[in-house]
Amino acid sequence: MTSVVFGASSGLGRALAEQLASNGHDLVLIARDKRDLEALKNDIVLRHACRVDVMPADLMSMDHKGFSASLLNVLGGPPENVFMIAGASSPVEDTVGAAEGVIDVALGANFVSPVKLINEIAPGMARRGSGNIVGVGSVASARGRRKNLHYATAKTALEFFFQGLRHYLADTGVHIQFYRFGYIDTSMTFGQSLPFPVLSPEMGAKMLISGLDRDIERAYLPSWWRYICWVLQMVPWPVFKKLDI
Amino acid sequence: MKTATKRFRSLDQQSDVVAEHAIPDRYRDILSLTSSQPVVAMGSGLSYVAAGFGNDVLSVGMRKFNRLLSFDPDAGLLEVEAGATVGELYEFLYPRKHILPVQPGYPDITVGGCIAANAHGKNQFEAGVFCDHVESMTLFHPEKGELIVSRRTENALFELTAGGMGLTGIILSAKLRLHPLQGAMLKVHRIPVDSLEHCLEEMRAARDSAEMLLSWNDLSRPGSAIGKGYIYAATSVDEVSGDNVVPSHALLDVETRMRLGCINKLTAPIINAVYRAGVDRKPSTEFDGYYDFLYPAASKSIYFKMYGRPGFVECQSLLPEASMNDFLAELRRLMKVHDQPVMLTSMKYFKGRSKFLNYIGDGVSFSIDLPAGEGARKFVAALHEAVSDAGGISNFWKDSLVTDKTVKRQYREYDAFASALAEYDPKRLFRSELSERLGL
Repeated sequence: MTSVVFGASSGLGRALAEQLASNGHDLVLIARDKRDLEALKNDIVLRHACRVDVMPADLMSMDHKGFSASLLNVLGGPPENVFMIAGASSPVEDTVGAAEGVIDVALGANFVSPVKLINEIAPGMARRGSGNIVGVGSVASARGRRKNLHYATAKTALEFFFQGLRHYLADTGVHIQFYRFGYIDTSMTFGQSLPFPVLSPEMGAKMLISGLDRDIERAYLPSWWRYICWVLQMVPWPVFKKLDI
Repeated sequence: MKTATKRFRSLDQQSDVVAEHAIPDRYRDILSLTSSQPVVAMGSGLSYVAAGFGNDVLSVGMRKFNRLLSFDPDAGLLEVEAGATVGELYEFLYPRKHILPVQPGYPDITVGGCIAANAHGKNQFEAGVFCDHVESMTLFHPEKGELIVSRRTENALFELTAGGMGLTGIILSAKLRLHPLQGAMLKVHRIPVDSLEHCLEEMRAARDSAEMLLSWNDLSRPGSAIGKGYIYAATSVDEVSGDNVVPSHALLDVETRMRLGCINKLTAPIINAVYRAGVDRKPSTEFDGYYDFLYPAASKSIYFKMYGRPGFVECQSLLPEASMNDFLAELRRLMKVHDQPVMLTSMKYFKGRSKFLNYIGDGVSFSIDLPAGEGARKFVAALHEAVSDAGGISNFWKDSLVTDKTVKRQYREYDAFASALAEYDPKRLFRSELSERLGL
């Protein structure tokens, strides 16, 4: 079984790659940082003796069609599992009036690029009639707000795309799982004073693997985030507009 | 690289510093460091002393760099990132019938930390120190870039980095020479001793046959029984008795919460008596898993919390064998004068020639742990004097009370180290509270 992990070099993607390997999956690991990918590949091969290929690529500058062709060539066909973990949040303010670069990265890395890649890979999986495509969204999608605006917009758009993808792949044998993640203990959240506990990447990866072969339109990880998001959605507008969130 | 402010504490609780830290998880984060701010790398942050942080110093946590890079079982070589812990490597190597030749007593210590401290284990007299088994390492300095350092290609920098407190740069990875595992388990022979002198005699006799050797002595007992205890002499054996799986272990915690503060003059003899009573019930020869014997602190992390919020002082000294009897007599005298509750006492045999500020030499390493406080401060200061007079050295990696004055007196190559460091890095970008304490 071969799994493709986009965004594999650190955090949730790295933990996922390690756990997939320990479950016997062969891997194709994709991320920007070649050196980190090579180090991860060496580690996984030594510990688990599985096949690992690495394909360094930047979602923001890649030729999606060409890259996908190379990926399918490396795999010799469509993969069994695709994990779209890659994404980016802005280290600077991401709100109305943000710099063009901030908007480009937020939309490109979190939505446009994942969608283009999945469009290249999913039809082959549908023809074969098996596999999983896993998408990672964010609890930031719960309700539009001034902070993290373009990031949340992109993640929400990705979630919408996955709904359509699920519809497209219905009855093909390809399963879709989409997760809204809360805070994960990664470099993205490092040093932030957060109101709720963070999830370890290892635990997040374990949950993603346990969801394989199931049909999940949207689930929260950890699951208690659904209540927080529900409360956020229920806050009356006159109150919500005054919240500094 | 994202940074945040954090309150750091040393394991012995004698240092408490608020400083910036970062926990990078990509090479580009580390390689983007500039020389705009003093830096020091931190492994697991479990050093007894403040080696991984300092005032106005950016502490760069390396634990996410813990990947295996290459393994050649035939050549006995393992290349790993510096944030890998010796326990993680044990888990990888043991089933593959290899082992790190030198290991500190707790599994969560990182390879980078072992190099920076040039750590020793329970087999120092046999296997030397950690850096004796380092083939090469990759070092990063913002003004020099990445440097591949080995004894063959960059001997001066290798020696400056081995036991160099992380002051030459961030250790990214290391290629380590391994030993083949000699057996599946360890046969541990426990030899009772009546005094510290008797202990030395028995250890001297045992060191020719033992692969690992250390003592436990009770200095908390008043009167003639002082120093009574045991020697633990371990050799590899192929017999397997019971399982040898890697157990989970409680993490050491440098935070002040949940500290019991129950070691004092009244309780130390009682705790040690209970320990002895438990040990006396066991057979004198037992089969131990390597993990249990190598990392005794893994199952005894509560020990450090028993000192309470004030923490503890570990005074570890390496003394020439010829001066041990005089030193022990002086120790007894100082114990009477200062009347401090010594909780833990241990001795190990050492061999080798010290270089720069490394804790190496021919002789006996003698350690005591006691609750921190003003009394302990005076007692340990007097012990440092006694160690200096006996021609010994104090281990500043264990003992937060060792001063620059003491180190300058005890370590003959202090000036040579300071000059070599200044020549290598005139700006002295890498600093810590430990290096400041030692006047470096």
